[in-house]
Parts: sequence; C-alpha cells; structure tokens
Amino acid sequence: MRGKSGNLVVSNLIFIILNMVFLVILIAFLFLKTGNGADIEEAYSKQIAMTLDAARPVMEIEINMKEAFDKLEDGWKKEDVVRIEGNLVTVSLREDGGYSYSFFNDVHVGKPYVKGDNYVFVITEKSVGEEKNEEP
Amino acid sequence: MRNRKGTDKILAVYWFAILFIVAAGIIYMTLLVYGKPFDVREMEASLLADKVADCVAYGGILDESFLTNENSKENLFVVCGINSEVEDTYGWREQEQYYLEVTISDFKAGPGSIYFSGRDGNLNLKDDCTIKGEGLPVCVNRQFYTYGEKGGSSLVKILSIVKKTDKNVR
Repeated sequence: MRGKSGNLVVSNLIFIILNMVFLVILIAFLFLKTGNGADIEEAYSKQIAMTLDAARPVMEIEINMKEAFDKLEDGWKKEDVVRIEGNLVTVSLREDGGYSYSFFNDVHVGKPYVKGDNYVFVITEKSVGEEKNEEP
Repeated sequence: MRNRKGTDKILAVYWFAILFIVAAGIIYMTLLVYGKPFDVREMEASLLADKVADCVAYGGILDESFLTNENSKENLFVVCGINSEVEDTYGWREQEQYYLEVTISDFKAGPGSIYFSGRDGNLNLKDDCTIKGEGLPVCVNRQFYTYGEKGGSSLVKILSIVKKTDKNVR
C-alpha cells in the first residue's frame, strides 16, 4: 500500500512539473516575442522616419525612447542608438544589428542627441544645414 | 483503485491536450500580432500627398511658380523637395519605391478641363492600384479645391504611391 501511495505521489509530482515546464516555456515565448529588441528597433526607426517626413525646417522634435533604452545591450550607449545618414534612420540597440528606414523629406537633420529619456532631432533647410556642416 | 488510476491517466491526457490547444492558440495569436512588420506605408503615402499638396498650393492659394516651373511636369520630387533615395536592400535602388501624380483642372469647367499634369517616380506602380491584396503598393488619392493667385478656382488631384512592401508586409 505504501508503495502504491508512493507511486501516486511521484506521478502527481511529474504531472505538476510537466505543467510548470509547459507554462514556463509558454511565458518565455511570449516574453521573447513581445519584448523583442528587434521589434523595438523597427518600431522606433519607422516612427522617427515618419516624424521626419512630416517635419518642417526650424523644428526641434523630441521623441521619448525609454522603451528602447530599457532594452539596450550591455556596454551600448544611449548616444549610439539612433544614427542618421543622409535620409536613412538607423536604430540599433546592440553592437551587431539594427533596423534602417528611409524618409523622403528633403531636409537636413542635425546629429540627434539624447536629453534624458528623449532623443532630440533638429531640422533645418538642407542648404543651411550643409553650410553648417562645412563650418569648422 | 485500479479504475481510479486509469481514469486519472485519461484525465491527464485530456488535460495536456487542452493545454496544447490553449498554447497553440496563444502562440498563433502572438505570431499574428508580433510576427508581421509594422506597416507604415499608408501613413507614408499620406505624408507624401501632404507634402505635394503644400508644394502645389499653400494657404488655399495655388502657387503660380509651381505651374510655371518647367520641371514640375517631370521632376515633381525635386520641385517639391522630396528625396526618392531609399536604402540599398531588397534591390530597392534598382526599382523606385515611390510614384507621384498631380493633375490640376479648372473647377468651374469641370474635372475634364485639366490644364496641368505632372508626375514622377515609378509609373509601373500605378497599375497595382486597381488590384487589392497584400504585398501590393499602397495608393492614396487626395483632392482639394484651391484659389488661384489671380482669382478663379481649381481642383487639384494627387495620387501618391509607396511600394516598400519587403519592409512592411510579410
């Protein structure tokens, strides 16, 4: 009888462990999918590109990027998250990788800088901005 | 006792079957929401149309310099301050990702009296506007009325198309 009850306890224990393992895998999958850094990179690069498309010269735009900063890879600085080369916005939260999206608005966007949890974009006329870049 | 143990085993099998069905449902829904890229093309095409609208008429008055500019008919991108360069992925550089078309007609004479027509970009994209389905370019049509600098009123129609399917649709 003792042996039978012992078997019952073991089988129940295995049953509970299997359930737990199953739930842990499911929750891990959900966390991986919903809080994925690559998704955040894509969302922010598209958001910034659309914002710059709607921008006009002499605007200064601040975008809150706390969600991205929370997902930064160790050793990766906030200042390295957003890069603008020509009309291409690149957001990267890690050393190898990132997501780029182009904007069509033919304006000059100065080097974006960090202000707390925000990124600041300064928009000027293209010719004015280029002249400024030439200055020492 | 033997019967109870057998029933427990059957229940456990059902329990796991239900768990798997629920998990499959959750995974399917998660992939449905998070597995696709964010599609911003409609917004992009709208912004493109807005940009051209501001270029053609500002403050409700038609810009005469736009009409008299010889480049307006063939080089809308340059005239309206639009940079059509895109990232060098998916072969986008070889095939333009934007198309723009502007027609201006006399409001009183009706839509048939077009006195200005300009376009720029990838003309092939226009054919896809008549078809509906995923993986096709997004087309946005805009039209508005405006006054001329010397009086009279005009109807401006703008068609803006954005392709960029590879980064917005999966």
